[in-house]
Amino acid sequence: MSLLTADSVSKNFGALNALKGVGLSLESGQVLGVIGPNGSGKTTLFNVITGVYKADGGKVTFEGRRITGMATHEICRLGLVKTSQIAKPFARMTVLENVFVGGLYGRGLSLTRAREDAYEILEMVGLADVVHQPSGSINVAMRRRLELARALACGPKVILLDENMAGLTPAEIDGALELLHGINKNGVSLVVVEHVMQAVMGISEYVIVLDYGEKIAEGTPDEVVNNRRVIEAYLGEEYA
Amino acid sequence: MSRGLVTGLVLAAVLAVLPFVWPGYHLSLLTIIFYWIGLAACWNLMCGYTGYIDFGSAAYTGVGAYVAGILMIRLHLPLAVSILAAGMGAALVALAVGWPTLRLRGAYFAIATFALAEALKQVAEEWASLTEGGIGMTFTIRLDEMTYYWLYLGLSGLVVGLTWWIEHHKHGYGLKAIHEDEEAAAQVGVGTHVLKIKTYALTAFFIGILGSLEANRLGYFKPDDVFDVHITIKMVIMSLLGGMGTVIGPVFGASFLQIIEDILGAEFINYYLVIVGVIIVVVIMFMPNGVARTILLRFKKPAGAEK
Amino acid sequence: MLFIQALTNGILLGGIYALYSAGFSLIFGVMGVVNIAHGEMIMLGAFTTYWLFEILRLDPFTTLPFSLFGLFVLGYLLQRFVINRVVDAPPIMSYIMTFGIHLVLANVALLAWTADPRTITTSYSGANFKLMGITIPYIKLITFLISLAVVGGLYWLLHHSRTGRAIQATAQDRRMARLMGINVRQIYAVTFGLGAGITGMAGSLVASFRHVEPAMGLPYTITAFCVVVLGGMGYIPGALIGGLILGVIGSVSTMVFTSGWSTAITFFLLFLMLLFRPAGITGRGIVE
Ligand SMILES: Nc1ncnc2c1ncn2[C@@H]1O[C@H](COP(=O)(O)OP(=O)(O)O)[C@@H](O)[C@H]1O
Ligand SMILES: [Mg+2]
Repeated sequence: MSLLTADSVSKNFGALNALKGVGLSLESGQVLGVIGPNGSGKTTLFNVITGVYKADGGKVTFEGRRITGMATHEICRLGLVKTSQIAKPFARMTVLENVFVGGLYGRGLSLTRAREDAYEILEMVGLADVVHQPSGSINVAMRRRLELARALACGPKVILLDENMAGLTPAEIDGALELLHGINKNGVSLVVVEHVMQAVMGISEYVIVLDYGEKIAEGTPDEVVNNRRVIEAYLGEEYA
Repeated sequence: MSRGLVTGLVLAAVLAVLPFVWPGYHLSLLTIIFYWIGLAACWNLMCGYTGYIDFGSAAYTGVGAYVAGILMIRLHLPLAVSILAAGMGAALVALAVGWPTLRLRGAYFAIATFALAEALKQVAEEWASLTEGGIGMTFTIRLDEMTYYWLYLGLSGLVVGLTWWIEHHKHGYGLKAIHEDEEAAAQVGVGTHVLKIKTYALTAFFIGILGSLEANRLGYFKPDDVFDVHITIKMVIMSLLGGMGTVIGPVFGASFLQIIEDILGAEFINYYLVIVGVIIVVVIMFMPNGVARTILLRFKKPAGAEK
Repeated sequence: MLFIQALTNGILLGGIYALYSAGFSLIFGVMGVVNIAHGEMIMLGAFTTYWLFEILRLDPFTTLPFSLFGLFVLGYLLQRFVINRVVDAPPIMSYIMTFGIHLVLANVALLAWTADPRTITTSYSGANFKLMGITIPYIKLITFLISLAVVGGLYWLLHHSRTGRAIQATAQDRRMARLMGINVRQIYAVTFGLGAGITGMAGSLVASFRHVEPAMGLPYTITAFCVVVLGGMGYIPGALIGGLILGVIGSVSTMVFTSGWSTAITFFLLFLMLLFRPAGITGRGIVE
């Protein structure tokens, strides 16, 4: 049985059909990639899965349980956590406190346990040096890692990463990919959204491709990059 | 932390016996200062921490006064029971208003609460068979002045202490996360809606108790007094002056403003609200963190360093 | 018959409700600012008309351009030099700020003009005509027509003028508007000016059939809130729909209850709307 499934999920914003019956399925321990041009509905898909938006159709299950219609914080506590495309640290709280909140609420840890846990996680993602800085004052690359750390603090079984590597230098991307590998090895399944194909191809075992709210292709990274429709969607028809 | 606790206990003991050593006129000033510290601390605990602005807190002093008034004067229930019921009545109203509005943008909460106090005032005016309308109600059973002082001291101490406790425990982090970014807070598991409602009802409970006690202390009240928009105004500006979202801010803000008011006296009242309005605008323009906090921040070590 | 009369009164009243709520909706829709000082714009418009009538004997309806202009300037300056300072801060800062402005304006007016309620009596005050047995006061009818025209004009301006389109672009995405070369702060100031200006006109209209006094603003602010929530916050045509509905509910309920209950009933309606349909009857309000 799949850990996470979305079944013909659709979402409209007024007249715009941002998702037109998209499905995905994630096995335990797997890394699934989701790619697609800007505006293809990747973020919307994550928002519908995690209850930020109400779906207009379709259903989502997590560990065999239907989670469509549940609130975001309940879904988080079940172990399905998302990071945001636009990193949203609690700016006036310290880096540590940001992660700490995840432990307190997402996992229901005690104050002491949550604090220890937060230190550990920050160590792991490489933010040990800035634990006491206000999170509003750290740079973008660090913010992205803080997003990830905060998600990890919730004790997730699945993390949905929304363009967590956007705007990073190639070296930073390598670091981030290594980190994700490590997290995945520890038993956390990942769904990775990236606009840039290369970043996601190395790490994903399976990839789905969205375009204008529809799934236009899926398969292993190799299959997908050679798929005609995918090339069209990314490069325009004349290159195909 | 334990040093803070000792300091707090010593301070409380000193304040509790203060009226004996420094009697007379000062008792009523001290009484009223602690009343306002209590109110401002309530406003701050909800609005300062979550960032949802209540423009109708007077609704709860009013509901408190009328619940206690009706129970004591009409039904002859004991004072303690009536006061407690006043708090619960206020909390119930807060639940009813908070439930639909606290899941929407903060604008809706501000609007609904602003209208609430005014609407309840009219109900109290019109429903004369229950409330005596504009004629007002008079308490026959009251306490002596010293008891009110101790009660206000205790209540304001309780609310400030509660704020301190919340600030250092799970709820405080949840509230601050809500203030910073509600969507992100929900993403890490904070049940934002319920947490806001619980906090709001809790503070309304204390406002209701304080409001009912004050009505009882003054002996007589009518809708205009207890639903007065100026009650809300003072709560807002006291928190703002002291620093919203800090434990000690409302203590500073309330003491400062109440003493100023006492010095300036009655002939100044016409200009008072204009000046209060100007202060609000100027503070928001130049010191959005509150006056006391802006000054304190200069001396403070980096946040969280002690942990 | 009584009912049809109440219905007519309500519709006539609804026009002016729509007018004084449209500005509130505009300001919220574009800048996310909840203008707690909204009622004071009405009060100032009403006093503009009162003094022009009292001193220069100007007919109340001819004073409309003065209150439009006067309140536009006031609104423009307020936004430009005061509220613009907090547009990038959390929205609550702007609420508290307009709350402060509300206190200043209401109480300066009180110091300047005392608390006495004043009325304007013209030769045609109280005059009316009958249409199929229904009494229609001239003042209310003219007010209604002017209100519709102004709300319509505002709508047209927003959709068909350069400034209007800049306002809309700014409302949709401030950062994007900036990139497109729009001076966002200027647009905000113009928007607030526009909102205040038409609200001031509503004040002038109100002055010809209601008391004019410094404390008059508050109930208008509350009614405007309610109208705007009914029609959808930030959606201008919603103000028209909300205004008409609330006008009718108000006048029919006054027939059933005493008028003292009106704010309470208004609030109860607001509460029900927020509970069941926060985006308004049109479903186009900005909710989250
Ligand atoms: N809250 C929203 N309201 C209206 N339209 C939206 C909203 N969120 C996304 N959209 C629209 O839905 C489409 C998909 O957006 P999104 O999911 O963000 O794409 P991606 O993440 O793939 O770049 C876009 O056309 C976008 O403009
Ligand atoms: Mg996206």
